[in-house]
Amino acid sequence: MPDDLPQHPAQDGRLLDANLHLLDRQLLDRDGRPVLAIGDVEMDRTEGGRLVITCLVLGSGLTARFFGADRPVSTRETMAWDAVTEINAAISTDADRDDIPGLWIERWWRDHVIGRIPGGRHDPG
Amino acid sequence: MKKLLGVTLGILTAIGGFVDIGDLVTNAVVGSRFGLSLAWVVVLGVGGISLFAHMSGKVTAISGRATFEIIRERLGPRAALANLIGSMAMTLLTLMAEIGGVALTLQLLTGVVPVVYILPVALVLWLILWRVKFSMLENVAGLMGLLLIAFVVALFQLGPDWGELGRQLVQNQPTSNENGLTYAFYAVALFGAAMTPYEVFFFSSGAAEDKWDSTDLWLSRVNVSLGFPLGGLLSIAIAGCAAVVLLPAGIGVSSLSQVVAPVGVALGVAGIVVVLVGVLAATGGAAIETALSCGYAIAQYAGWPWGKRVRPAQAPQFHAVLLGVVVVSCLVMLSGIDPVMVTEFSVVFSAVALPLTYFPILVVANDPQYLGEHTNGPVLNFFALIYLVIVLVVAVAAVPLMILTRMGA
Repeated sequence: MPDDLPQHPAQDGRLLDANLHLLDRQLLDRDGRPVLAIGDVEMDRTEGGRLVITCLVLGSGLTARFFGADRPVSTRETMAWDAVTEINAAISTDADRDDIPGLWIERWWRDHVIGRIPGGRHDPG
Repeated sequence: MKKLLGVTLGILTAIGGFVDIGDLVTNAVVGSRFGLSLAWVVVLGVGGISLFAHMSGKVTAISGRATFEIIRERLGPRAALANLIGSMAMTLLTLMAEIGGVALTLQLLTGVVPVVYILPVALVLWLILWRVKFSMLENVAGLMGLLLIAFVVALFQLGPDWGELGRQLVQNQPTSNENGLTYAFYAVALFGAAMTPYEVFFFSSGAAEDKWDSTDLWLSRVNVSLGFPLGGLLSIAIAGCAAVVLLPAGIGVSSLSQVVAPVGVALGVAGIVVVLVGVLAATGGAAIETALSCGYAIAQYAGWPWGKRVRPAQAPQFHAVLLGVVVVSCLVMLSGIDPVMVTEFSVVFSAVALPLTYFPILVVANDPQYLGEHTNGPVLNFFALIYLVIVLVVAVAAVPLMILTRMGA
C-alpha cells in the first residue's frame, strides 16, 4: 500500500470505550507526572449532531458525592480535550503543570506545609 | 558484575524484608504450641506472596501503573475507596505493630520501658522517610534483617531431634492437647502473616521507584522465587526454635522476649544481641515499608504524584500522608497498648483484606491493554486461580475463627 494515501481521521479505526479507557484513569502532565484521576467527561453536540468530548473532569468528585450531591458544573476542575496527546494505560497531555487549575490543593500543601519543612525542596540525600 | 550485584542485593533484601513483627510473633506462638505441624502454611503463604508480588511487579514494570491506580480503574472510585479504607486500616495497624516492635526490641537491648522509645522511634522513622534515598533504605533494612539467620544457626546449635521435627512437619494436624478450631485459626493467622497486602504495595511501587521496565522482569522472578522462599525458611526456623525449646517446657509466647529466648539458650548473650539487631532491622524496615505503602496507596488512588525519587515538594500530598500516618501510629502506641496484641490482630485482618487487592491485580495481569505480550500464561493463571480460591476461603474464615477461638486462646 502506498504511504501517501490520506489517513482516516479515526486513527486505524481504534474504538475507545469512555467508561473502560478514560474514566478513572490517571492523567499525566507534559513531563509524565501524575496530575489527578479522570472523574468524568463533558460532551457537546456538533452541528452534524455527533457527540464529541469537550473536556475531562479532574478528580473523582467523591467528596462532593459524599455530602449528597454532584459538584455544580461551574466549580468543576476540567482540562480541555485538545490537550490530550495519547490514550494508553494512562492519559498523556501536553499541559503545563502550573497552568492546571485543579492542582490548587497540591500547590497549597507544597507552599504552606511540605515546602516549608527543612529539606522539603531538596533531592533525597 | 554490577548486574550480579544488583541481583544479589535484590534477593538479600527480599529475604530480610519478608520477615516482620507479624511473622516473628506468629511463628513463635505457633512453634510453641503446634511445633512444626503448621509449617506447610508458611510454604503455602510464600507461594502466594511470590505469585502476587510477581504479578503486581510485572503490571507496574510493563504498564507503568501501580497497584492502586489499577484498582481504581477496575473497580471505579466508590468500590475502590471501600477497598482503600480496608487495606489502609490494615496497613496502619501493621505500622503501629512494627513501631511497637522496634520499641520492644530497644527495651530488650537496654532495659528501658518501651513507651519511652515510641516518640524517638517515630521521629527517626519520619526523618528516614523524609530524607533517605529509596535504594538506601531498601538495602540497609534488608541486609541488616539478614541477621535473623541467627534463628537458623540457633536451631542447628540446639541439636534437636530432627526425626521428631520431621514427624511434626508431616503431621499437618493439631497435637492432642489442642483442638481443630484453634489449629485452623493459627493457620489463618500464619497465612496472613506471610501474605500481607503491604508487601505487595511496596513491591510494585518499589518497582516503579527503581524504574523497572520489561527487561527487568527476570529480576522480579529471581527476587520472588529465591528471596521470598528463603525468607519463609527464616520463618520456619523461628517456629522450629520455639518448637524445640518452648513447646516441651510448656511455655506460651506472649512477648517478644520469649520469641528470641531460644536463640539465647542456643547461642548465649552474643546470639541474643545479634538476633535483636536483626529484629530491630526487620521491624524498622517493615515500619518504613508500611508507612510508604500507606502513602503509595492513597496517592495512587487519588492520582497525586508520589514516590521517593522526587523532591518532597514535588509530591506534597504523598509526604503529608506519610507524616500523618507516622503521627497517628505514634499517638496510638503512646497509649501503652500491647504491640504483641496489635500484631496478632494485624495478621488476622491482613488475611481478611487480601482478596480486595489480589483479585483486581489478577484481572489486570491478564489484560493485554496493560501488559501486551506479557499477560499471564496458562501455568501462572492455573496457580493464580488456585490461590484466588485459597485467599477467599481464608478471608471468609478469619473473623468467625477469631471469635470462636477467642483469638486462639
